[in-house]
Amino acid sequence: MSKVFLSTVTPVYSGAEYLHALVDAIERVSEELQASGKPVELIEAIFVDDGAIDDSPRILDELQRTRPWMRVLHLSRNFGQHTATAAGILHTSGDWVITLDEDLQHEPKHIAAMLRRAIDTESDIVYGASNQRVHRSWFRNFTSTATKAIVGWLAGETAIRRFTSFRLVRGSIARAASSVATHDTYLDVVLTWFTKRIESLPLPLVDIRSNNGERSGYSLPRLMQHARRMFIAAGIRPLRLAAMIGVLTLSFSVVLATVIVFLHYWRPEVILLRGWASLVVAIAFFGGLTSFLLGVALEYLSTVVLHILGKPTFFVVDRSKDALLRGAQ
Amino acid sequence: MIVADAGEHRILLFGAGLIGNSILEALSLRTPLAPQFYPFSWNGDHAIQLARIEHAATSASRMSIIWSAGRVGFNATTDEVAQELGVYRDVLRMSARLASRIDGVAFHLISSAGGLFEGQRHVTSDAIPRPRRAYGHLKLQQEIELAETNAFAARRVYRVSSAYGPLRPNIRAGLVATLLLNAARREVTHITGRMETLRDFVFSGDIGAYVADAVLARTSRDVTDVLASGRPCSLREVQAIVERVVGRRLHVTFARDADNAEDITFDGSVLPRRWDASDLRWNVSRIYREAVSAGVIARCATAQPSRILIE
Repeated sequence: MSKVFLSTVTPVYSGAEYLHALVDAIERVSEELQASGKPVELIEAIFVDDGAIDDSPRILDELQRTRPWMRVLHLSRNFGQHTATAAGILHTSGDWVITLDEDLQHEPKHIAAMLRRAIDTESDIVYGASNQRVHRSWFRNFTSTATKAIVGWLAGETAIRRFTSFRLVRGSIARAASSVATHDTYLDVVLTWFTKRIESLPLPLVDIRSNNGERSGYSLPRLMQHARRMFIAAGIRPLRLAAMIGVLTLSFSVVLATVIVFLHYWRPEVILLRGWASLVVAIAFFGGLTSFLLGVALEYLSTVVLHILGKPTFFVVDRSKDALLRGAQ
Repeated sequence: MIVADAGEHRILLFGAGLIGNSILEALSLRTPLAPQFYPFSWNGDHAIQLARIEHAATSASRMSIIWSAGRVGFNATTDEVAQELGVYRDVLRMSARLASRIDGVAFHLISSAGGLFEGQRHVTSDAIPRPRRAYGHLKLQQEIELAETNAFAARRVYRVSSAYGPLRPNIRAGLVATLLLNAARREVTHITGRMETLRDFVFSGDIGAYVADAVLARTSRDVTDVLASGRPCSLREVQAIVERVVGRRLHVTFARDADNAEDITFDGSVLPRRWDASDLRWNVSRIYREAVSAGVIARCATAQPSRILIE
């Protein structure tokens, strides 16, 4: 009988403390899926050692020895979470790929619910969204939400608000996105190049590490770097905004010039100080023109950059296998 | 057909295609070789050709026979397969005769993992070959007939997944080579497969090195190895890699209804312990740079087809 295969991908940087529990949890999910009798199987769990700074590589190798479904990739140095995730995804063969954090913030037991959500809503991506405060620090929660909201608005991509690293992604789309992702692209933004069928599922996610008083791997500079990459890959809306402001300023200068010419000939008595009005008009005109032309030039540049980054012209997807799970529910 | 002497060790290599060439290159790097080339045509009189080869090969104290020849591909008809199997049987019989006269004759067969495991995903060491087409049945039959021939000191089978390698003007181009060539001549590549189809691509240089090591090692074991990378790779990813290497967009069409569009992938556990597959990205870059610097792209550009069937 044909089956739907699942693969998990976990980038590992400093998760030594959590890896045994995480692997056990994945194994339990695999057994539960098998026992459910549904045509779905978790075939592989890929762990990407992203230049880990603790004992994680040794622990992973040890765990892998007795678990044939586990696969460990050792990256030559720390490349960052998104690159490590993309590397892991490129080693999967599942129909669906689930990405999980190393510290059990994303509990594997939610995988079945996320898959159900994807099938019910005919989605290609389901994000595990927290239905409560993820981090103990209100500042961290606020900056995370605010950054996503601002970048989402600027980029014109509402899905950005849903981005978390707990994702269930259709395998073909995950692999296609990972194959065009570079060191400087934001994986989730690249995923939106391939699909708009994005859903989220509220789940009780908790940042165990931060709540235990441990230092988060995400410092402020790193979070800002994330926001920058998200912004760059997201698109050209800010540039269009700049061009639009340029056009508005230009229009304003033309209107202003018309008014000044009118006043100069028909109501010269209202002009008390000569020279200022024409100076304001000149600055507004050339400032607006420069801003408009810069916006146009940058939009061209942005189009080229997105082309180089690998934004696809189109992508074909096969969702026919979803019927297997729809029938099994 | 190539007869190469490495001291007292005589090596008979049938098939000088992508993999055959890589094996010869790897052998040359490992030991001084004195290769002699013998014509061996699929359509010629095999009895005469094989008699000549048999005569040339008798005076050796140790011998390795490598079958890396193959004329037909995934879309071969039953008749084409039957002809190829006939030639293989002749070579196997000749090899058995040589083995009866010389001690320590080893037979190395290059088989096809894709042909044997077509439509199977995440193939593990427990997987059973279930060929779906004539080409796969040919490969399985070749393995069976080798297993039934007891004359050899060692029988080694290498089940190779989708192989890619350097561009050469007279060698059938695989997916990577075709994409690189068509990128150079700005032509459309018609791929019989879907863009999300998964394959396991393996570099011919890695295969050559592994087989060469096995040929030169004195072994008396029967071993079947799967030579794959263990990393599934979609055709879309190959396209993206080639685009990045050549620095331009490729023009590609995919045939969605192709009967070879099902995924074929291999689990890492199925790979031999000493096997180490190199990375597709760096290899594609290397192939392209070597081809450009050697002027091969220009020489291949008029000779290769733009249509490719993914095996």
